[in-house]
Amino acid sequence: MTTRFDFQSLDVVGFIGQLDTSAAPARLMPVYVCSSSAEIVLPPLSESEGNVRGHAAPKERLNELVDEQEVTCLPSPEPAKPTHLLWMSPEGPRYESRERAEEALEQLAEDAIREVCALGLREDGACDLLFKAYRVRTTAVVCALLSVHFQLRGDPDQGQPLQKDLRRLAGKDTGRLERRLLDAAAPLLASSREVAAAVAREIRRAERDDLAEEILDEHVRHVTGTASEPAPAIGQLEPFRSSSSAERPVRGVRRSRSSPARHLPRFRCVERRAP
Amino acid sequence: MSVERYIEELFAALGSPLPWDFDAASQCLRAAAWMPLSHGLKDNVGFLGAPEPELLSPKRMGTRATDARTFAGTVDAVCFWIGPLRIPDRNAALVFRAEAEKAGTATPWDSGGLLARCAQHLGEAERKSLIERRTMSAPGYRRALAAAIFVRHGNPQRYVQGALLRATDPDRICQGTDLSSFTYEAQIPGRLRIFTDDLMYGAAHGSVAMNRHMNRVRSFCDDFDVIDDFSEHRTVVDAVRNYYERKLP
Repeated sequence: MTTRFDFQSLDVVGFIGQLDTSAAPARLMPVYVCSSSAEIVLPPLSESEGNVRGHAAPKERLNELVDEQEVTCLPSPEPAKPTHLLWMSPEGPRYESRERAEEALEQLAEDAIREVCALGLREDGACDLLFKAYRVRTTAVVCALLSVHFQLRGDPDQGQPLQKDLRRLAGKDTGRLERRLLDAAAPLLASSREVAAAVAREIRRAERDDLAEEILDEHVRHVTGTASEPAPAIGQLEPFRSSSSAERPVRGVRRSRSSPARHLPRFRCVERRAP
Repeated sequence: MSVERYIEELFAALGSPLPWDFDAASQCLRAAAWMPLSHGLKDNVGFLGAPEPELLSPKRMGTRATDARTFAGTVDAVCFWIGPLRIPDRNAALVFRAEAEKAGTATPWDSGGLLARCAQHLGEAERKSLIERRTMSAPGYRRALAAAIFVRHGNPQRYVQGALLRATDPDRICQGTDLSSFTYEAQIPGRLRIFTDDLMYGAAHGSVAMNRHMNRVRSFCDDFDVIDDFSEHRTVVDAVRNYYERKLP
């Protein structure tokens, strides 16, 4: 049974769980304390018209929940405000307007994708970076990159949950972040036609043909004579063996002798032009 | 204590006998034998990255046991709800088959809750002795669970939903507003391996608990819900309860 509270009577005192900055970015579930009724307000919470609805419990329960490691307290309580978000930044918990928090979160997702581009999708470190972006919001681009990452690592089983996510996203509006992340991933997609084709194929699972076609147009079909050819399959790529044979960082776009590309049909590249 | 004794006391606490309903009774017995164990995860689940990840008791983890666990004597046990999670919400949760409990024990309520929340009409020593008296061995306690479901909820669906028909309780702990006061708790000694056939289901908030370790659990466990803007459920607790509702025999 939930109770309604006015934001003006609430302070944010903590969040559910035992998370620290190593879990950043993460959206936290806030715990409020009500000054007028000596109660705490626990998730699940819903917000409407300056009010928040949640499970009320006696204030003394807070100490018990902290002791039971169910709740972590903030360094100091913050006055609760409507349309605000409590989240874990790399520097610690932050409570700020939803708009500002979302922008900061999306920037972290974009930064993570850019780091993956510099590192190489096949590298082990790419996994944690991509999951950072996943925690910001479930997007087809990140799920597809993760799925391809696991295929490149020779661990397709780990990619299956991401493929489920992609199917789950079919027909859903995943928002503007998709476009931003796709742009951030451009150097990675440009570095390897096989990877670009594989990412496009994964993205189709989410029925985002618009994004898939764009990837193919930009990074696969800029090669003459390929428009009617099937996209190279990631299954033709050599699985990851060791760090020495790992995919190179994208800058320079050179491929090693063990590059999977040599197993694929030869394509003639045409010069890319700025739009 | 003996399971039979608890069942006798439970029916005696009813006062007047219930009209006997064989269908409901057999449904309760079936559901109690099946009722899986749920466990909420609190941190960013780094422990799932171990080659053979396990749920560990605070003692085995080398972490400070909570006052509630010290009071209840469960410092070297991994505790589970026998039924859905009865907590505000968690970042992630795992559900295991009943068979996972093997050498475990159970109490008819959250044993740690007796420290400061439940049965406060009794003195501290009495509450401690009550925990000892009501600790039953697995899997025999499941007959007591069946009786409790029949007496208090009428059918297993209501137990899973946390809906009471009557707050019958020989120990006067059961309260409609506190689901942990009538949901059974299992205590498995020491540790429980995660990657076994006993792992039935998992759920995690996508925006909090998804990382390479949780993804490993997802790839092992087919039945797994990610809670995000696009999922059917808003919370892990809701997702777990829904899982029980869907799978009830």
